[in-house]
Amino acid sequence: METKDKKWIVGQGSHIYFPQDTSKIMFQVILALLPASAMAVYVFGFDALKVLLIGVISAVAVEALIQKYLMKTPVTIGDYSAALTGLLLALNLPASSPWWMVCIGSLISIGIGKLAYGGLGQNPFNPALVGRVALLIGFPALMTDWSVTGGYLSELYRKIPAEALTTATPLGFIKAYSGSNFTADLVAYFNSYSINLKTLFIGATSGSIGEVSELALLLGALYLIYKKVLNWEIPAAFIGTVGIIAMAAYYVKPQAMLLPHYHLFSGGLFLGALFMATDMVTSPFTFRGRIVFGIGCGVLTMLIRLYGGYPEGVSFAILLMNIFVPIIDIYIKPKRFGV
Amino acid sequence: MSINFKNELYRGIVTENPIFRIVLGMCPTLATSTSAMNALGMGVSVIAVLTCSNMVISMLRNVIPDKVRIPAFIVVIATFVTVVDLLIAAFIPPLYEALGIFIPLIVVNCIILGRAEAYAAKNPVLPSIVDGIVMGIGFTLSLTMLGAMREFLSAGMIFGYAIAPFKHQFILMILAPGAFITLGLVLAGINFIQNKES
Amino acid sequence: MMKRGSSDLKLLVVLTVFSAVSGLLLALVNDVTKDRIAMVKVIKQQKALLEVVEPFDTCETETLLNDPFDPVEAFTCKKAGAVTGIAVKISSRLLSAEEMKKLNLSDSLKQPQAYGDPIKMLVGFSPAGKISGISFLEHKETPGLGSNIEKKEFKANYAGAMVEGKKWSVKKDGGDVEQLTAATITSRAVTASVVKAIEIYKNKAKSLNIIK
Repeated sequence: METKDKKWIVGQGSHIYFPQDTSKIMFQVILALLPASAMAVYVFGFDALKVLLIGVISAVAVEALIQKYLMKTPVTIGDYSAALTGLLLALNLPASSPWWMVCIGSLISIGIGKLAYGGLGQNPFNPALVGRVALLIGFPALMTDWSVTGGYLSELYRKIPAEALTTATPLGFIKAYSGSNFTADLVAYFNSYSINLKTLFIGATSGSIGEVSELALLLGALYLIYKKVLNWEIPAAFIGTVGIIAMAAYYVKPQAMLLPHYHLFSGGLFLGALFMATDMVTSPFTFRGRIVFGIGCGVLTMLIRLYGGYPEGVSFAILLMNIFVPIIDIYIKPKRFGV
Repeated sequence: MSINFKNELYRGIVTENPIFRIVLGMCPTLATSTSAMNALGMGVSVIAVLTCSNMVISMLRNVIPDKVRIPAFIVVIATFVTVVDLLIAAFIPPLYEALGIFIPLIVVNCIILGRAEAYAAKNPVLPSIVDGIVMGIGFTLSLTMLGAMREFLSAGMIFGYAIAPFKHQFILMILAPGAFITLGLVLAGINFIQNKES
Repeated sequence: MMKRGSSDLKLLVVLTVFSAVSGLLLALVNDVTKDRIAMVKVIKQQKALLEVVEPFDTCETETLLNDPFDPVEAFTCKKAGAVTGIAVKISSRLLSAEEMKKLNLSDSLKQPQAYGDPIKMLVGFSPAGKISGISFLEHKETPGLGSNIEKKEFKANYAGAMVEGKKWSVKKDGGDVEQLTAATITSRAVTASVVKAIEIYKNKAKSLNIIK
């Protein structure tokens, strides 16, 4: 925040302003992501650690370089926000990501997603998701390469010959076969297969680094909600909506739909709902606004998963709802006192 | 009256650049800048249409009643576009396949109508022709630059020549979002340089 | 009133003259380019055919299924009177039961759809029952994933193989066709269309008494 040369700051509420808090909040969020990161390293092995480190370092480096040499403004890497963006981006990538792809992601996240809009607090979209979606569209083959070379998952694959798990995420697998005559068999296979709720929840399915263990994500998020850094409304509305739609879809057409727990626990839903959709800069101010935002994210996610071209819709849904945040904030205002 | 072609050229490429300064004709700009070659082909077609339409509209500027000037302009423009369309289809089929629907769409390219309305309808024939040429050149250069940038960022190639070929193509840059991102970055760069100068 | 009438008349005259001149000019240009454009089309089709069948002198086109945008056609190519190849133009479009019947195709044929719009292709056959080539005329598959059907390695799945020599489904479904990485949907749609083309070729070849 540039406040040195301005006497008063005029802007939308709230007007309580603690400049020292930004870095503290960011640090707490990073801390809260550590269980999920640790779980990722356990599940995917050294590859995941490599991607996480490259993500954080490159994001910080990009921010420092652009601010110092291009924008010629004070370097703000000390507020940990770049490190957090880098970490979130890395958690959204497959463990097999090559180093240069992670760096391009950081460049897009920080350069285009954040600094091009004026830096922290000005960006309409979640920067980490901007980076992830750019990579997903830009390198579709690399971004859906779920091969693992180490860690717990590779051990597991050696024990159970589950081709379905090594080649794609369950959601991706069903999408790849949608519209063919094989959907029913596959759905039956997955729905009767022994990857039960517990396995999915604790984290032994293929996917992006950060999305494997809902348990670890939830632990971190609960800490942040307890610390009042995260709001609970958006995750609750988001995950709740996805759950309801998935259940409804399953009961309407059980032979063609995955069990609802796949929709809840096998994709990027928890990572997105808990840590990306709740980003303070890109989510609504008010309680009701956040509920609307969360429901919108949930509906879009399921629309994309069930009818869209991509197997996973969480990141697209959040980005699309980010666009609506200013409108939500205009139409859903806090009640005035005494009216 | 004399025309300083060098000054006019500077006007078309720099001070009144149709894409980067006037920001007109965004549809073909975004859609046909997927590679340097496509962009160049589009640009040359626009030069042809713009020069001819500017010339004819300037010649007829005293005949065309004010009330129907827009339909009259569009008839002139559409005629030349169709002529170019047919000629390219007959004589340069590969370009025709690459540009596809975008040649007929030159009709609604705002640069053409914009120059007809803003310049050719008010100025004599020769300056109007020059205006058409320099504006077309400005459009072509800008478009080709965008095309070359996108081609390079996606595949490491320019005009189909591998400069530093990538093993994995960055497909984003040849898709629609890449057009918006590249154009945005170039506009930001121009503003950056301008702010620095002033 | 008088004045207004005359100015309206002027508008009318000017626009009419403009349109007439424009029409005249276009007619002229059309006349000049008409033959060439038609020739370009023929050359394009010949080139496409040459990519998939052995050299020929003439090709007879037979439209098996009329559709303004996506017809199914069979080309019988001959050199010095002898049939050198048969090409089938087909797409991955979902055909109705009625259309399948028209083409003499069995209802049980699976018709998986491509990722984007239907993939249009030309499949060429030699008289001996070999797939002599395949070329893709139009597709809207994801660049870098599904668009890899254009690659030689993928086409080699089909080109050069005997019609009866392979199980025509992708490996994931238990067949012999090497599917593209991360583009199984596309591979499956292409393979199913090739199966249709094979059936059409067989019917055509039987009617020409090339195969029994």
